[in-house]
Parts: sequence; C-alpha cells; structure tokens
Amino acid sequence: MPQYRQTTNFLETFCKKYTQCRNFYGTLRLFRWNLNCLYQKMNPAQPLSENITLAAVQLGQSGTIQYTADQELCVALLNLGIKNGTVFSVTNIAPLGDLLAIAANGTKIAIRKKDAVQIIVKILE
Amino acid sequence: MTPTPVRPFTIALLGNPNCGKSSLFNRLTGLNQRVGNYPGVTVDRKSGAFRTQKGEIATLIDLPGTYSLYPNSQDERVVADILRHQQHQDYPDLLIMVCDATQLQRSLVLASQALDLGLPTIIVLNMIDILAKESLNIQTELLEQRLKTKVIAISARTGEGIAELQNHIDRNIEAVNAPIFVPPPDLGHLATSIKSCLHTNNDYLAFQALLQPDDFAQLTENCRKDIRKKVSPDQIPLFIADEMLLRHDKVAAICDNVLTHAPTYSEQMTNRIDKVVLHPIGGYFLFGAILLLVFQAIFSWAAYPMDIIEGFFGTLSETMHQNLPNNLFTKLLADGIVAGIGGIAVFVPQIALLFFFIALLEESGYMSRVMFLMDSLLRPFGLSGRSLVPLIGGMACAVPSIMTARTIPNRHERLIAIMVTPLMSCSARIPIYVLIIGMFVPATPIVGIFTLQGIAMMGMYVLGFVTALVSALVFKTLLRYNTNSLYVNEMPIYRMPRWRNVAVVIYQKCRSFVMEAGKVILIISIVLWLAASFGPPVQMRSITQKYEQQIAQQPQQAAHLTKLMETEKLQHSYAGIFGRTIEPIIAPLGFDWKIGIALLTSFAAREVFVGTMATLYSVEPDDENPQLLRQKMQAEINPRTNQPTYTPAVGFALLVFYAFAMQCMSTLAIVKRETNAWKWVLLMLGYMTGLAYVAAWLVFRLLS
Repeated sequence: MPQYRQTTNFLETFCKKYTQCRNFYGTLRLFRWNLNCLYQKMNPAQPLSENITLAAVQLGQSGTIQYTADQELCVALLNLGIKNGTVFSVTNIAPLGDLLAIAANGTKIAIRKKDAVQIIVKILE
Repeated sequence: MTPTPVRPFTIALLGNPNCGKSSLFNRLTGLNQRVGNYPGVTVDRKSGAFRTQKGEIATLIDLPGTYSLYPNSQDERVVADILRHQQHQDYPDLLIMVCDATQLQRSLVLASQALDLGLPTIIVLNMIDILAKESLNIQTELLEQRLKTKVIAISARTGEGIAELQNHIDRNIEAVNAPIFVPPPDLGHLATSIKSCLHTNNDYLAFQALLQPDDFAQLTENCRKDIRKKVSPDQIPLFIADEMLLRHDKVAAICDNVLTHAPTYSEQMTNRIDKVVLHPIGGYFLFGAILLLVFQAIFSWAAYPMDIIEGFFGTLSETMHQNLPNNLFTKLLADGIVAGIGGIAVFVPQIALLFFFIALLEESGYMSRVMFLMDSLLRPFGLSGRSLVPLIGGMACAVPSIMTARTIPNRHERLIAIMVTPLMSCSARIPIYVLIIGMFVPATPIVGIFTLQGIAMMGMYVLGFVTALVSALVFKTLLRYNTNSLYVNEMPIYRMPRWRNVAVVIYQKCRSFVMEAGKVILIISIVLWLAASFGPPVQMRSITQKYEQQIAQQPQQAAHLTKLMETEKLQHSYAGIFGRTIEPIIAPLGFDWKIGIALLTSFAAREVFVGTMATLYSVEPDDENPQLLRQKMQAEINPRTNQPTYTPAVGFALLVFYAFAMQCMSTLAIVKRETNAWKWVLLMLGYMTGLAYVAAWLVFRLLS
C-alpha cells in the first residue's frame, strides 16, 4: 500500500470529507494550487508539489483523486463510483488532443482536459 | 357483477448502463417483447410479457440504464419519473435491480436509492461467471442480511441462476422499511411537511420531491410553489452531492467482506486491446477499416437480398396483372400496394446488416472508444464519434442510418446527426448521377485509370459530405448546443458480444421499421401511384381511345404504341398536371415540366427519377444501358428557345438539386418515427428543398 502523507493543514483535514462537491472550498483549493504553481515557477529549486491537476498527469502514471472543484463534475464522477481517495491511472490520451482515459474501480472513464483541470490529484510513486 | 380491470403484474428492470440488463430482459421474455416510445421523448420503452412460476402473466419493463435517480439525461429522467410516481402506468409492483457484480459498490448505490423509495425489490448480481473465472466468491447471504431484501447471483450470459430468479418473482414481495440514507434532520423535517402533497408515507420520496419539485408530475402547482420556498435552489446540488456521498459510505460498509478481493479480471485485457484500438495512428486506421467494412456491407452485400426482394415483388405484381381481371382494383393492388410493400421490404436487408454491425460494436464496448478517438475532430460541428456511423451509413442509405442515431445519448447531437444524414449521397442517387454525369461530363482520362466522369462522381460525394458538415454547424448554432458542456463517459471493458442480444436488436429494428415507418411509406406510395396513373377522366379516356384506334389499324406496332400511350397518359395525369403547375417555380433552375413530373414521382424513392424519365421519353428503363434515354434527352428541344433543353447548366443544376433535395419519403417517415415530431420532418423537408433550390439556381445561373 502506498503511504499517504498525513495532511496537517486544517483546511485539508476539513476538506477531506466535507468539501467533496462543494464549490467554495474546491475553488479555494484550486486557487491554492495555482499559487503553488506560481511559487514553483518563481523558485525552480523547490521540489515539485505532488498535488497536480488530472490534466497534467502523464500517460501511465497513477494517483489518487484529491478533490474536484466543479460540483456538476463531482456528482458525475460520484455516479461512476469515483470519489476522493479513489486510485486511478491514466491509460490513454486521445491522439488529437483533449480527451484522456483514466482507469479506476475496474472501469475506464473518458474525460475532457477542460474538465480534468478541475480535478486535483496526488501522484503515487 | 362486472369484473374490475386488473392491472397486470408489472416488473421493472433497473440498473446501470452496461450491467447486462438487456441480456436478462432477453432471457426472461425471449422475442415476446415490444419496443415503443415513452410519450413525448425519444427514449425506447422496452416491454415484454412472460409467465411467472405461479402462472401469472407479468409485464416486464426494461428501464433505460441509469447511474442515479437524480436525472441528468432524458433517459434517466424517464426512469426517475416512473419510480417516483405511484400512479404511473409503468410503476412497478416489483423491481428487479440488476447489479454488475464486478462493479458492486456503484450498482448498490443505485439499489439503495430504489430501496429507500419503498419499492419491493429483488437484487440480482449479474456477471458471476466473470467472478467465477477469477475464483472470486460473492457472499449473497451476507448482502441479503445487510440489505434485508432478496439477493440472487446470476449470469445472464450463461443462464446460471435465472431459474432461481424466476422462482422468486412474486407479486407478494414486500417493500423493506429500513432506510439506508436518512436525510439530515433539518431537511428531513421539511420533507415530512410535504408528504401530504405527495400522498405518500415515504420519507425519501418526500426528500427527493423537496430537492426536485419540478420533476414530480403528481405535485399540484401550489405544492410546488410551496416547496420552492423551503429550499434555496443553489443549495440543491450540494444536498444531492451530500446524499450520494453518504450513500457511497454506507454502501461501502455494506459491501465490506462481500467479495474476497477486488476483481481485476479483464482490465489488463482491456488495456492491451486499447493500446491498439486507441493508438494515435493505428486507432484511426482500424476505425476506418471498420467503417469501410460496414459501408461495403450495406452498399454491396445488401444488394443481393435486395435484388431478390425487388425481383419477388416485381414478379408478384406481374403475376397479379396476368391472372387477375384487368380492372382498377388489380392495378391498385399490383402497382400501388404490392409495389409499396416491396418498397418497404427492400430496406430490410440494409437495416439488418447495419444493425448487425452496430449491435456488435455496442456490445463489445468498441463504440465508446470511437467517441474517444473522434471527439475532438467532430465536436466543433456538434457531432461526435457516434454520429459518424449514421453519416457514413448515409452514403448507402439514410433510412437505416437515421435509425442508428438512437444510440447517440445526447439529444442535440442526435437531432443534428438525424438532420444532416440525408445530405450524404445515398445509393439511390447513383442512377441519377450516372445518367446525368454520363450526359454532360466527357470521359476524358485525367490520371491513369481516373476519368473526368469518375472525378465528377467523387465530387458529388464530397459535396454531400461537406454540406452535411456545414449544415451540422448551422444546426448546432440554431439549437444552441453547447459542445463545451460536461463530458464524462464510461468506456466499458471489452466483452464478447452476446449473439442473442445482437439477434434481438436486428429483429426489433427491422420490425419497428416495417411496422411504423412502413405505414407512412405505404400510404404515400399509394397516393403517388394514384397521382401518376389517374388524370382528368375525359382526357384520359380520349387518349385511350386514340391509341386503341391506332393499335387496331396497325396491330404490328402495338407494343410501341402502348408505350406511347403510357407516355401520354403520364403527361396528362395528375402528376403531369402537377409538373406543369410547378413549371414556373422550377423554370429559374432550367427545369421543364417533364422534370417536374419526375421530381414528384421520385419522391417515392430517388431512383424512380430514371424510370419516370424513361416512361416520359418512351424508352425501356434499363439501368445497365442508359444510352438510349440519354440520346433521347439530349435530342429534346425546348419549344420556347429552340435550344436543347438539357444544356450542361441544366444537367449540373439537376445534379446539385438531387444531391441536396429531400426526395425520399422513407427518410421522412423514419425521421418522424425517430424524432417523434412532425416539426423536424417539416424542417428537414423545408431546409433541404430550399438548399437544393438555391444551389441549383446558383449553378444554373453561373453555367448558363
């Protein structure tokens, strides 16, 4: 089993369960993530954060879903059995661009990159 | 004492998409099933009858596949409507919840919603044959204890457990009253207060009504207003999300220890196949090859059975002429009705073949990969990978192709695909193209084996395809179809197609075409026949007399004279009158009244154009050798201008006109069936005819 790093941040603990599908906190997380990226751009010496959006995951990499900023998307994923903490891997990227296929829970789901940027994931080594 | 009408024992099958629901449905009902439409929407209502073990006749309804009882699509809305409304005609006395045993948790979330609605339920765990392959055991007793309802493990594919299920189907199963999800207290309190509005005792039903009052048909307007005041609309998605999350947690607890380990079975297999199927280059080649095969099948393989059917009805009609007394009734029977039925039956091979491939692709799981490959190419036009099947199929025949559009889940996308498919150059246009291109395009060799004629033919296909894409773009704008909307699509693991299901699909599609579109086609073909063979009685009689006299004088030329008589009769029939009436309208395109007649008669089917022209010019119609007709047409002189009627300008205008015009009643009939509204039929007829008219006028102007 992969070791999950304990989240110490209060917001993250709070979000862990109660923020699934909630716009406000989801957006906040997305904002934080963007800040994080900006910070990394300014300080390239810093190690990369392990939290990235699904759209940035490389082919073949796997990870866990952390949170979904878009409410509608979140419910759609829930209906397919995907929630926070679900382990997935990116199995295919559509040749002409913006669809990617993730395998999770024994099924495959196609999702657009436009929507994938709403999903923040943690890469598993 | 009059017996009170007893509602038949109604059973509904509920489940996620791809859970094997249809297989179970086919197992239980065999071919004893009907496909109709739910009123007002284009969602298949599949129902069937079967006899339970107790000898009672039960109606089984196969509900559309759904992920949740909070509807997102038209299909899901139908399911929610039925299960939430006790007075609905399809409201089940017993619900069979089909769960994919390999996707247990997800399926049980839906099951928990159904159980909470207070429906008597049997839970069926399908696909245990796949679990058995991985030597996985499923603890049905444990599940039964936890869910407090009957759980049966079956395999719809192998038939395992079906008998047990049949033994348990019973009218007297009681609903469980042990809610899995309990609404939070504040919402629960609000929900209780609206129970009286719904005339129900069920907490969860009231809770759903609280969140989605607009989807409850049984609520009065006052109640709805009242409910809307209780919850603010922007909170609703949150409550739904919370509920689903809670359900997932509860169901995860229920599923605990039910399976020995998570199934990994065909996942690796699927990944290996997807490496090829979704390959950046290979994937497109494979898809192209499959499309080519489908096209080849409906284009040329279907020709053999179609020839046989045409031959059969032709012979039948001839035999009737010879053996029945030569009167009006015989003519109606032989030329109107038999020819009309022949015109319907001739489509059956194409429909059967096309749906054979479609069902195969759907069943195996390939279709969703096509969407994955083609999405970014076609999305700007409001089409998707699935729309490509009707479009390519449209090159053979629009009728079966439009029927395949039903597999497109998005309503807008389906409408766009239906509306533009008839623009593709179908095989019925080929005789017209051959006739006219042969007249005006020289067979000059260009490169190697390619001649100018071949390139012109190719050009007509390209023209059709490009126009279809452009029209799709226009429709996308008109329908305000937002292609940027959320798109999350499941790509099911690959499975061997179930041949029984493929066969049932083919049978159903052919049946519904013959029964529903067939009616319209038959009526129109009889009307067209009447128009072409009758005219003002006085004129018709004088024509007959004139030729009878001539035949009496020169009996050796009887055959030739009869042909001339037919020509003159057609010219003076109601169709002829129609042709003359519309001449002022079609004159700007360079068409004369003879073409006007052909325009009317070819509404039965485009290829009739050549036959009508042959009759008008008194030549024997011969597909193999259109030379004679060509010569006659080229010799035709316009009486007003003393120039040949068929100048290249007219020819090309005619070509373009036939490429675009909606000259096919069968297509219109099937569009009516598929869209369930005359609105779209009229729009299609209008826009295609308008497009054809304008394009033909432009071509005629530019070339003359």
